[in-house]
Amino acid sequence: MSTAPETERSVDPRDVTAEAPVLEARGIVKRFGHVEALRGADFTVRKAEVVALIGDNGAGKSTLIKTLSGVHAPDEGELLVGGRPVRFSTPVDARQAGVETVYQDLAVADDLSVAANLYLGREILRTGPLGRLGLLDKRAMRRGAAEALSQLGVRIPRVTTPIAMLSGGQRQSVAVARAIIWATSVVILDEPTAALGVVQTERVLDVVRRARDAGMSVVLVSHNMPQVLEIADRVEVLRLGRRAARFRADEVTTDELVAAMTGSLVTEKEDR
Amino acid sequence: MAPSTTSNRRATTRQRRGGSVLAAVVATAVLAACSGVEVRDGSDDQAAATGEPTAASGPLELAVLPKAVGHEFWNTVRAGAECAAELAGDVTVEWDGVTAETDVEGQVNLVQNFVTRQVDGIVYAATDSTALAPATQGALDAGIPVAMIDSGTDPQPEDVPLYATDNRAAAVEAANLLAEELGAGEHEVALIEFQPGSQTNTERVEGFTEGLGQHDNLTLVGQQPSHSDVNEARRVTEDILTANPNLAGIFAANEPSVLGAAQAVEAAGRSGEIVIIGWDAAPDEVAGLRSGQISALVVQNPFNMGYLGVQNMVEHLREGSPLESADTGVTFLTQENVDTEEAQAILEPSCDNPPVG
Amino acid sequence: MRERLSNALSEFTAAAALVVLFVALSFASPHFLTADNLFNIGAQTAVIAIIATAQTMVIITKGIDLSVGSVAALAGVVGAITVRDLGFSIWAATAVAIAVGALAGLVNGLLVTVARIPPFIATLGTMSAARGLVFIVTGAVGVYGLPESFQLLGNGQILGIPFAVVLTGVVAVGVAFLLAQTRFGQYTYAMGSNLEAARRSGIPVGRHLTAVYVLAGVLVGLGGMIAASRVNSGQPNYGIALELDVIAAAVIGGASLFGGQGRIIGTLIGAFLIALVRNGAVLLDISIHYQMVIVGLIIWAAVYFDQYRRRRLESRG
Ligand SMILES: Nc1ncnc2c1ncn2[C@@H]1O[C@H](COP(=O)(O)OP(=O)(O)OP(=O)(O)O)[C@@H](O)[C@H]1O
Ligand SMILES: [Mg+2]
Repeated sequence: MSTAPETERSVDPRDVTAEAPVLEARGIVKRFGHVEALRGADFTVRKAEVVALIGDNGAGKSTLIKTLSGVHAPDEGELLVGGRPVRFSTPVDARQAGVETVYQDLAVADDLSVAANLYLGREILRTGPLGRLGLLDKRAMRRGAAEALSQLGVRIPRVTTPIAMLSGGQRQSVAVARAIIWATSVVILDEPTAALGVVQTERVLDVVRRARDAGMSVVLVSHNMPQVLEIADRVEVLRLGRRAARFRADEVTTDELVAAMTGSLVTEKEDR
Repeated sequence: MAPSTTSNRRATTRQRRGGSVLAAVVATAVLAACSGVEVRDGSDDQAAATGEPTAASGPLELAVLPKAVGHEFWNTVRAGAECAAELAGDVTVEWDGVTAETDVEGQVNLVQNFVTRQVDGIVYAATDSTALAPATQGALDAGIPVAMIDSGTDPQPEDVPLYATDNRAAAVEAANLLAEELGAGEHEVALIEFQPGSQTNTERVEGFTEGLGQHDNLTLVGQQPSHSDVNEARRVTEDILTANPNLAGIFAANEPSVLGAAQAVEAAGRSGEIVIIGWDAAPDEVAGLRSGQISALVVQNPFNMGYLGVQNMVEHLREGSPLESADTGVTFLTQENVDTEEAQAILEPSCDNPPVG
Repeated sequence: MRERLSNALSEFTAAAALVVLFVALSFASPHFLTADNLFNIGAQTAVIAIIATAQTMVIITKGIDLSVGSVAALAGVVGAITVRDLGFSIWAATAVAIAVGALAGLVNGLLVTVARIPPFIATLGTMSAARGLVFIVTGAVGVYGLPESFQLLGNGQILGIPFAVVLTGVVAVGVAFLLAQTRFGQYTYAMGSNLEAARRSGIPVGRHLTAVYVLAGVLVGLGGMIAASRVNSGQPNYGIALELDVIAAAVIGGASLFGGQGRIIGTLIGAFLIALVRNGAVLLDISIHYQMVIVGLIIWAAVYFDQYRRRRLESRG
């Protein structure tokens, strides 16, 4: 297990003297009708760290992530980027703040090509008046996509292939690549390796490490405890819509994580 | 107010053989038509209009339902119905209809709705003779008398009259007219029908083919429907012209069919060369007749349908007179007679000078 | 090129059917392969092709527009009325007709995006409302008495080619380009493919979807005006069941009602395939009943093929 050199940065959750977290959620409440998916959830992402977000099924992980990425507007609570309060009312807001997300349900357009998906919502237009008319520079996007994918080690027959023709793992790889390519500060990955084989999984984790080494922060949602301990610097545990515990990955065991997820171990104050 | 020449179809045939102009204004079924005329004595109308007390005077509400809204023809029916209502006095005409003649089920529902509303009488044109028979029966069962206009039902209950054109007879006549216009020699002709499966369409098609059977020199080389859409009529006629360069005559069986056929012939540069016998008398059809694009038009008397339907229904309700069917007659309109007073009364009917005598 | 091939496969099949039919008709009828007949087929198919192009855009977004027939009729009669009663030129009348179509499209778009009514229901409502308006503005009578110049769009020619065909070409090339080469097109496919993905990618889906319906309305308005011009009158009963023809054309050409797929070239092939069946049937004097059966068979075959292709794709995924 390789740890990045800059781990002397504060990774102890109780030590908040260092620079402000790149992304932070405080007291987030999110209701869907009668279901209260988040009940005052807190979450912290520091610079250049991999933080794992874990929790039982239905704990609210995906909901928290959609709040962080602007898909859901929280009913209560606040988001801070670099210590300053922000409001993400659309995914575009989050993206402008440098936050990119791979959703659990992927959110790729099956009928579009790999290249078109990588550039979806950020198409490269031709220069000059043609561009102002919305004319696409398809060649530039194909080239950019091919380059980015090969850099990330994602193997796809060709970038003009529609996503529908890819395998489940290939799709997931494309979705991960899309997030990594565009993120400038935080990449959020909601169960990015769920459909992947051993080799592909290793490749994604490799990409995650490289992103962290390049100074990016990565949020990883996973049910795979060994994987979490292998890749993460820190772990935050969500239970029943709240943060139940925080750990440094190198100080915790799988048993403790499971205990925190099931409620028999609590490190957070209940009354926050 | 009778058309100058009233005769039955046999009489017309004789006239034709006798070399009379084909401009003869024809109304079929003299007897029935006459009975219609007699009931509609002017003084009667006057009496009703001035509110002379009758056995069951009092406000009446009649539902009058065309096959579909959206054609000149039905608007004229409406004018006739409202004219009769006005002359009778204290009669409200509820005019309502489905938007497409093919919406048979919609009309069934419409009739049922008026039965539910307990109108005093229903006067309507069936979009489908079989499908509407139960609706008619349902109205009768609910004690609401029914009169049919233009198209009846099958079976047609005994106490339900039909005020309509004898389509079959008129279409036979149209075939005769076409034969006469084309003269001796072998000729290819085409038929533009409108709504295969509809009663009226079937009658006109059968009448026309029956008529053709009497003329061995005429061959039917094309028969296509327009679905009462001018664009469609134009399209099929264009294609028929393409397939049959020697085409000499066309019989088009309703307003959109005629307009489309005339446009196709015009576009092919063969106006005046191909004889078109049409049906109905929309303004553009009459214009085509005047300009020579169309040789003759079979003109029904829709005003009379609405008029007779409402008038007889009112009399039945107020005086208990039995409802009896009548032929509303047709007129053959040609370039020669189009400007005559009789023709104008049919073409532009008004309640001041109703073409109902 | 495998993926391209699969995408174009239903287009290819339809095109092959078109060619086979074309050749067969050339042998079957001596009148088929004549300049006059081809000219006629072009002019006859123009309106359906233009409106099918509009329908294809909507279908790609996973929508459907049932109101095309009624809106075309409304645009046509309003255009005709402006000429007859207000003395508008054919061009001004066309602009009005297009505006009518655009307005109907805007209504459809807002019903779908703002009121969140499913497209099928929203446009079903518009279909009825627009037809009602047609009857209201015309008093349920055809609009006649138009000047000769009114026929320009439908019956005019440019260099011996029907003006309507030229317009169809311009529309088809324009929309095909828009769909294939521009951001607008990319968003259109993306929304039909996965609306949520499009939204999360920052595409303003509401605005964009509305724009698609408006653009479709513009084309429907133009189509309605050409139809009116062709018969030199505003016909209140024009376009009843037209939506079925244009949906058939789009589907035969490879557009998928599941959204995300469809190309204008395919739709044109579909429209001409239907037109050839109809034309051939009349030339050979085949009854309308058989024509309808044949068109039905073609639709079945096309859709079955589309499903088959999708199932194969999915089983690979
Ligand atoms: N859009 C929604 N509408 C209604 N309820 C929702 C919605 N999204 C999530 N929920 C509910 O919120 C709760 C938390 O769901 P969430 O998807 O965030 O859980 P999770 O921790 O991601 O679970 P998993 O590990 O299974 O992915 C669940 O009870 C879920 O049913
Ligand atoms: Mg989840």
